[in-house]
Formats: sequence, structure tokens, C-alpha cells
Amino acid sequence: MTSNMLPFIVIAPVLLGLLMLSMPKRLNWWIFFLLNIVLAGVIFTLKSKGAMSFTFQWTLFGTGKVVQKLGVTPLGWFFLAISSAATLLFSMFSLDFNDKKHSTAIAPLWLMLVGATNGIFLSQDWISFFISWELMSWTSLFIIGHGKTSSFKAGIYYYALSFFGTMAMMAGIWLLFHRTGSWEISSGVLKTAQDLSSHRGFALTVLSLFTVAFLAKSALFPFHMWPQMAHAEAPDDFSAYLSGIMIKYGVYGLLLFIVPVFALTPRGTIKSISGVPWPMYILAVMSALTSVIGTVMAIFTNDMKKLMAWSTVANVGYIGVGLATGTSLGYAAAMFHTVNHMMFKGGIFASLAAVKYRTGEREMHRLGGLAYVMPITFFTFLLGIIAAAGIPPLSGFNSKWMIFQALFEKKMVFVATALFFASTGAFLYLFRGLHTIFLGQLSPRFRNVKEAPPLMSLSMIVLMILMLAAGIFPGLVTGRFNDILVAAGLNPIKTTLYSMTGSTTSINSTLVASVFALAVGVVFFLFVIGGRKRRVKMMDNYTCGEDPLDWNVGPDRYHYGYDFYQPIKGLFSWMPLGVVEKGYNALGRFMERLGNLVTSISADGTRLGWSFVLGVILIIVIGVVK
Amino acid sequence: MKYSIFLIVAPMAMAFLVPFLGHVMPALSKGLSFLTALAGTVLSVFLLITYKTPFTVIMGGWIPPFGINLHVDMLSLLFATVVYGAVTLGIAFQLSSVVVKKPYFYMLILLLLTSLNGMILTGDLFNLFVFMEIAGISSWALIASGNKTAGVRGALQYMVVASLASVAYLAAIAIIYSSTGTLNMAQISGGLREMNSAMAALAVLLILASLFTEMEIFPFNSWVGSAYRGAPSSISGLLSSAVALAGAYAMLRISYIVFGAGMGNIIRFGSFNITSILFWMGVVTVVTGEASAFTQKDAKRMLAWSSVGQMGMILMAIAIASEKSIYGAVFALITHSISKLLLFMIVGRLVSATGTSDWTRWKGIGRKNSILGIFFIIGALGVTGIPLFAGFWGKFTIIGSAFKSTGSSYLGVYIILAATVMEAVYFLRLAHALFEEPERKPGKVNTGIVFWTCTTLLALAVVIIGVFPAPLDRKIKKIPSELRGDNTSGYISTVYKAMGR
Repeated sequence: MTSNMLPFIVIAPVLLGLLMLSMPKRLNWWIFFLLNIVLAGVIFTLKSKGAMSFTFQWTLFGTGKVVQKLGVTPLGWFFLAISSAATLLFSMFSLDFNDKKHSTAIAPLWLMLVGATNGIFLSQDWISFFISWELMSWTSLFIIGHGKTSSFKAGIYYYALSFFGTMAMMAGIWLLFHRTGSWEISSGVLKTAQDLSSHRGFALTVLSLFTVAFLAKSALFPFHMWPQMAHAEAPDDFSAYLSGIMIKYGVYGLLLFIVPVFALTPRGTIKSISGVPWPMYILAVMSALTSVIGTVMAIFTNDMKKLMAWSTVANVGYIGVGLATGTSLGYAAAMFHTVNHMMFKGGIFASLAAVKYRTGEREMHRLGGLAYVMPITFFTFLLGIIAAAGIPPLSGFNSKWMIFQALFEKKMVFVATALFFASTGAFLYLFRGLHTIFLGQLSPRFRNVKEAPPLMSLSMIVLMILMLAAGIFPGLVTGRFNDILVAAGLNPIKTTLYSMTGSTTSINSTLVASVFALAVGVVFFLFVIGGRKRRVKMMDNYTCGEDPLDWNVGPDRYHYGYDFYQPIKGLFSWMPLGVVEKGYNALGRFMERLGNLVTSISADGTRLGWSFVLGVILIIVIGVVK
Repeated sequence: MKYSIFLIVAPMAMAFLVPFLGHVMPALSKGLSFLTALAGTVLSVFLLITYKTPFTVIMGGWIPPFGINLHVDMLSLLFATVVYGAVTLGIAFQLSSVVVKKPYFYMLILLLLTSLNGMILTGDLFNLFVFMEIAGISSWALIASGNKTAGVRGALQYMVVASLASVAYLAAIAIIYSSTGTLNMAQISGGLREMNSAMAALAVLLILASLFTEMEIFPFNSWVGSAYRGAPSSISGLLSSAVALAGAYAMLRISYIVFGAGMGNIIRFGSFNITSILFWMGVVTVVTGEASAFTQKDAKRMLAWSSVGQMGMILMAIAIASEKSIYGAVFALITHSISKLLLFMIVGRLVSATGTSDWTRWKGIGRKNSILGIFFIIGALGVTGIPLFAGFWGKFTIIGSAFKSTGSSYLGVYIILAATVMEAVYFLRLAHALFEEPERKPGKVNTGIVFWTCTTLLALAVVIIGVFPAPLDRKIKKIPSELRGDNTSGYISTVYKAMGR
């Protein structure tokens, strides 16, 4: 394996993706799967070879030599490895998902997107990073749209926000280049860290431009509304990728550029609030706000994919809080939660895709009782939501525990309170998802529904095993973090295979899991030897003697899943939810009005002459005023 | 290097021949016009390859200011090549389309070609005026030859504004001539500064008004929607990729050579700051142009307003007047011409296949004609300036230069960056619509070998320039130094040398 493999894992998927545009769909999905095996194999062998890089030089006028460099850093390799592993699982899932009835033509674009993703994680210079970033943006737009008018509306909303961020990044890249004279990311980090003491205004401008790009991609406040459209409308098998991997680009960017800058700044050069530099404190508050909004919106959502999209938003909020603390523990917690979220949200979206694959339904109140007919799917969802809710012995508990430990270390009371609120709210919506889709009454319509096809089930099983493994042995994941932390200029964390050490205490997850397993065993034993059991029919205990028709409600309205949290909705009616969306919509309308005004000049011949006069006046005014 | 005169003379001579020949053998006359354009393309490419240093051709042995000089440097050669290439492809596209045009049409295209090359090569302000008039008149006639009512409407609107512009330009020439006694650009250069600053400001104001009209700068661009909509698609493409290009060229030349003595200075006359006029008019044009395109349901109007947005960005780059911004402006102009011509060709075929230019009714047409759809995406990404496609490097360099210059304002740059979000949205919205589930069964689009050759060439150019900008980069990077006033190979000294002074 030489360093020539680096451009290979970026360019090969892109070129093959282009080639696949002219090939039959079914073949494409196989190529997609096989190439992902190859890529994952290559990526996992990269690490053992140590630091390697591939440089490509050329000249662009006025900037001298452009050195494009692909290289493996600890952080990049980590993201590369987890994303390629997850992509492999998702591609296996897609192989069965895309049968005749459910097939979409997204495989070529998806493969190009995989190449772009590898490019983002390998880039050591801003030009390569920017090229990969843009390639990722527009390919994902077309995947989300996938030829459906309604889906494209969601996609273009996502793309507009993301493109806004990209343009901010372009400005940031140039400001950085003019300051350092090089496109290298690492020298940009060093220079910005220095500038925080000497040229504060400049450094903050650069940092905020990049932050806008990363927040937009990771759906942190004020860009938190696009996942509920895009994740929900994307092809079902792609939603897992979107939520598992794509939402993490922004997290990667923050870890790559923003966090190291503050880590390298000596303490005291910049004012701090409870031990955190104030810009990072603002980031923490915005992330906490994101998770509160995500949680509250998830509680009220009736569409299962939208619900999980809001849940993704909430989880990215946790990650953002973790990395905003700027400590080793917070950094590690953010990465750990990134991995966990990739697994459990990947699993959840995969199980939802399986449900939709078999039933064709997305509204939760139309489903119910599917646990009887789709047990593997049910267990994937179950473990996924246990992890998402942060209950031991699954992985989500470990990372949330670390996040809270990081917050206690910095005594960030306000942010911790917000996260506790969001965490509690998560129980509400996650349980509702489980109960409404998989438990309760099995509708007679779905009596003949079968379990998901074998490859789909297989990838869900693998995801379940991974979630359990990371939950019982946190060291499997956290053990990899120390290289990355050291590379980012932070201290290593204390961790073993079985336990994690926080700021106040340490916890042995394996012990917790054993206790949990023991308790489950005892309860199951009691259940087996316990008293007489009677099987009841499904409709038996349903209406408590009332006839629903007396209440003038049909079966849909009567479903316990419909408008489940209506009472709670009232509690939150004071929250100005949707204000940001309204702001964006108003801006869009303003632009349309402006456009209409400009184009209406030509509606009348006399206006043409006046517009000429107006132009002359405009020239004079600008010329004289400046 | 006297051959460069043929770039102007050959199409003009053929333009006189075509209508007579057209009476006898229409097919031959059309073929000849295509061949003329093709030969010109070959000649200009040849000149481009063999080009070493800028040179000036004195016409008819009359030394300026009594005679006229043609100036050939990398900037004018490159633009002449683009104009020739665009017109050649435009004629080929028109010849391959279903609507058969009379020989007069091709005569007008040749006249347009003559005048645009004249605008690009001439070194004389009055000569420039003459060529601008010819370009204007031939464009009106060409626009009017399109769809009956819409064509005439568009042509009339263009005519109203362009006539005002040419009057303004003529008045400016009169002022300059009465004060400096010459109309040769190199000789005037710097002469404006010695004039009464109020008179100079007035002259500049009038020239700007007319050039802004040519370059489609807000609010002198109210005609573009109707004109592009009414014109035959081949002509809409040429309006954007050749006529606006020539306008931008004139803007570049005049602002650096005539207003300021060489590029790089902030130009002001009294309290009249030209640099900030160019900069802020550019910003306003980007915002209004992109907003207008954003609202359009009509594909041709949308493309028209998108050109306006691009021209606004280029005007901003011209205002910044650093070496990097000139580089960016020229790069962006050339790639914009290529991508926009490609888009107009595809849109033209889609209009004739569906009978409507309302893109919301084109849903699903790309499913049957997937390569057409992919080409559209390539063109759209090329104009928007997405990396790996041609438009990126120009836009990228312009933005970079804006962050380094003293003549610009960061606020304006941020506004432009935010406005380009709209550009990305409306282009990709249309691109995706081509692949959406159709409401009714879309028909097969009429294509042919000629059409595919034209579009494939253009699409390949967009991708190749995007991935390997180096060959184009080598040409363009000579331009900034040639525009400087102070060096020996610059415009002014070359002209003076040729005049024997």
C-alpha cells in the first residue's frame, strides 16, 4: 500500500460513479457495494503504514504554487475509518433495499459522494478540502431530490443553506491564504491561533466564517431546520447515510479547525466564561439550544423519519456542546458520540427504511405492532433508541456520560441543564417511536408483512453488535482517541477497555452492563417460572368498554399514536419555534419581490427610458458619495 | 501579423456577398458564412498560438490620431478567439435546427461578428462607437427575426435603451475630442486628467452609461429579459457569450487605458470616484440580476438574468483592478461564454421540442434524453462556479482579489457571495426539474450530429478547464502585465512605438 492509494480512494469512486451513469441500475448497486468493500479494506490498512501523504503541485495565477496534499492524520483517519465502515454496512443494506419496486437511480451519485467524503477527510489543504466539500454538496442535493418534486424542495432548502456556508468558507479560505501565504490547513490553524492575540478582529472573522460553513452542514442552530426536510425526503436507504455520516462533516470541520485554534491559544489571551473562551461558550450555548429545539420538535412530529431527523439535530447538539468545552474530555466525548450516533442513528434509519420497505408507510399512527412480524428490525430499533436515550448498557450512555462529565469539569451549569432537559425529552419521543411503530396493535393490513430481506437484516444485526460492543467495552472506541487528542494539542484521556474516567469519577461500563444483564436474566427467570399466563387477543383490551364510534372518532384518530403529546404541546406553545425558518422564508420572498420589481421595468416602454435616467443618477450618487 | 485585419475584414466582405449569393444558391451562402466563421476561428487560434508580444497595426499608413490602429495583445486575441468560436458554434447550431432561416440572417450574424471583432481589436474611441452601432443594429435585427411578437418586442426594447446609450457615448466622444484633440485610446490615456475635472467626469459618466448598457449592468439592463426571450436561441446564446463579452472587453480597455493611465490606480476626477462606481454598480447588478433570475419561470429569461449576475461580478473585478482580479475577470468571462452558450443550445432544443420556454413544464424530459440533462447540469455547475467545472477558478480568483485590494469593500464581497446562493438554487432547480417525474409523457428532443458535436465540445471544454485550468491559465496570466501603463510591453508604449514616437 503506497501513498498512491490516497488519490485512488478519492478519485476512483468519483470516476467509477461517472461511468456508472451509463450502466444498468442493478449492476450499479453491486459495483457500489463491492467498491465500498475495497475502499474500507484500503482505508483500514492505511493506519498501520503510519503517516503518509500525496502531494500534487501546480500554479494558479497570483497565488504562486498551489500544493494540494492528501494525507492521513489521526483525526482524518478516524473519521475515514468509521465512515467507510458505516458506508459499507449501508451499501449492503441498499443492495437488498433497491429491488424492482423500490429502486432509485442514486447509486452513481452516491459513489461520487463517497469519493468526496474520503476527499474531505484526507485533505491537508484548503483547495482540496473545498473541492471535495462542493462535490459532496451538489451530489447529495441530487440524491436527496432523486427525481421527485417534493423531495427536491427539501433538498434545495438544504443546499441553499449549505451553499451559503460554502461561500462563507470560500471567504474564510482567502482571508487565511492572504494572511499565511499557504493553503495548508495546519499552518492556517497555527496562524489563527497567533492572531487571536495579535489581530483579534481578523482571527474572529476567519473563525466565524468557517464556523458558519460547519454549522450549516451539521445543522446546528441557526441551520437546524434542514434535516427534518432533507432526511425525511431523501431515499429511505440514503437517510441512514445522511444522518449517520453526512451530518458529521461539520463536526469534522469544527474538530479540524476551530477546536485546535482555541486549544493552541494560551489561556488568558481571550476572555473566557466559566473557563471556556467566549466564542466557544457561544458555540456551546448554540449547540445546547439546537438540542433543545430538536428535542421539542421531535416530540410533536408524527412522521417517523422527521421525528428521527429532529432527533439527529438534538444529537448533533450534544456533539457540539462536547467539543465546545475545548477540553480533552469534551473533545473525546464529542468524537465518541459521533461514532455512537453513526451507529445508532444508522441503525434506526435502517430499521425505518425496512419498515417503509415492507409497509410503505411513514406516518406513525398508521403503523403498530410490527414487532410481531419484523423482530430483527424491531430489535435494531429498540437497541438504537436505548442507545439514543443514553441508557446503559448501550453505547449512547457512555458518550453522554462523558459529555456531562466534561460539562461538570467546566461548571457549565446553564448548558448542562439544557442538555438534561433535551435528554429527558429524548425519552418522550424515542419511546413514542418504539411504541407507535412496533408495539401495540398489529393492524390487520400488516398481518402478512415479512421480516426485512436477508442482507438488510444482516447489516442491521451488525449494527446491533457494534452498538452493544461499544456500550459494554467503551475502550474499543475511546482507546483510539489519544493519538488524535495529542495531535490536536490536548492532553490524553484516561481510559481502559472496560472503563472511562471523567472529571468527577470513573465508571466501569462492563460492570454496569453485567449488572444490567444479570437483572434482565433474573426478571426473565421470574417471568418463566411465574404464575399462570393467559394469551389475550389483540383487540381485547383496547377500548375499555367504550365504542370509539360513540366518540365520533375513526380508527386513525383513535390510534394512540396520533397527536400523542398534545397536552405537552400546550406547555411549549410559548417557545418561538420556527422563527428562524420564518426569517429565511421572508428573505426568500423579499428576493422574489426584488426580482419581480427589476424585471417589471421592461413591462412598459416608457419605463425603459426612465431606467436609463435612474442609472445615470445612480452612477452620480455612488461616484459622489464615496 | 498583419493577418489580424482579416479577423474584421473577412466576415465583412462575406456579409456583403451573402445576400446576393443567397438569391442564387441559398445553401451555398449559408455554408460559406459558416466556413468564414470557421476560418476566422482557425486564424485566431493560429494567432493565439504564435503570439509572443503585443503589436499594433496602423491602418492604411495613417498615423493616429489621423488614422486608426488595431491593437493585438493577449487580451484582444483571446476574446476574438472566443467570439469567433461562439459565433461558429452558433451558426452551426442554427443550421442544424428545424427552423430554416433566410440568408439575410446569416448576413446579419456575419455583420455582428465583424463588429464584435472590431470592438475588440480597435484602438480608437470613435471606431469603437461605429462598431458598437453596427453590433447594436445587427443584434436588433437578429433578435427581431425570432418568434414574431416576442422577437420584435425584445428588439424594440433593446433598441430604445441602446439608442440612448449610443447618444450618450457620442456626446462623451465630442467632449473628449474637443478637450484633447484626439480619439486614439493610447493618446488620450492620462489626457482626461489634464482636462477640467467636471468635464472629464461628465465624459466618463456618459461613457459608463453606454458601456453599462452593452455589458448589461443594472439598471441599464431592463431590456435583457425580453431580448433574450424573443431572440432565436442561437442568438440568445451569442448575446450572452459574444456581445456581452465584447461589452465587458470595452469596459476593461476603456477603464484602464482611457480613464486611468494603465491599470491599478484608483481613478477619480475631482470628487468623482470611478472605481467605487464600478465596484458598487457591480454589487447592485449581482444582487438584482440573481434575484430576477431567481423569480423567472421562463428558462431563457432566467439564463439572461443569470448573465447579468455574472457581468456584475466581472464589473466588480474590473473595479478592483489588481493583477489577480483582471485575471479572474478574464477567466470568468471566457468560461461564462462557454458554459452559457452550452446552456442556451440545450434550452433552445428543449424549447423547440416542448413548444414552451416555461421550464416548469419540462419535467422529466431529461429522463428520456439523459445526456442532454447531464450536459445541462455541467453547464449549470460551470456558470455557478462549482469546483471541477470551468467557472470556479474565475470566481475563486475574483473573490480572492477582492479580499486583498484597497479599492474594494468587504461588505460588497460578502453581499456578492450571499447573492450567488440564489444562482446555485435556480440553476440546480431547473437541472433537477429535467429529471423529475413528468406530468405528461415527454417527447424525444430533436438532436443531430451537429448539435451533439457543438454541445459535446462545449461540455468537454467546461469540464477540462475546470479540472486542468493550466493551459488557459498560461494564456491569461500574460494579460495583467500587458494592461499596465508603466512598462515597455504595455498597451500605451506599444502603440506609441508603432507610431514611431
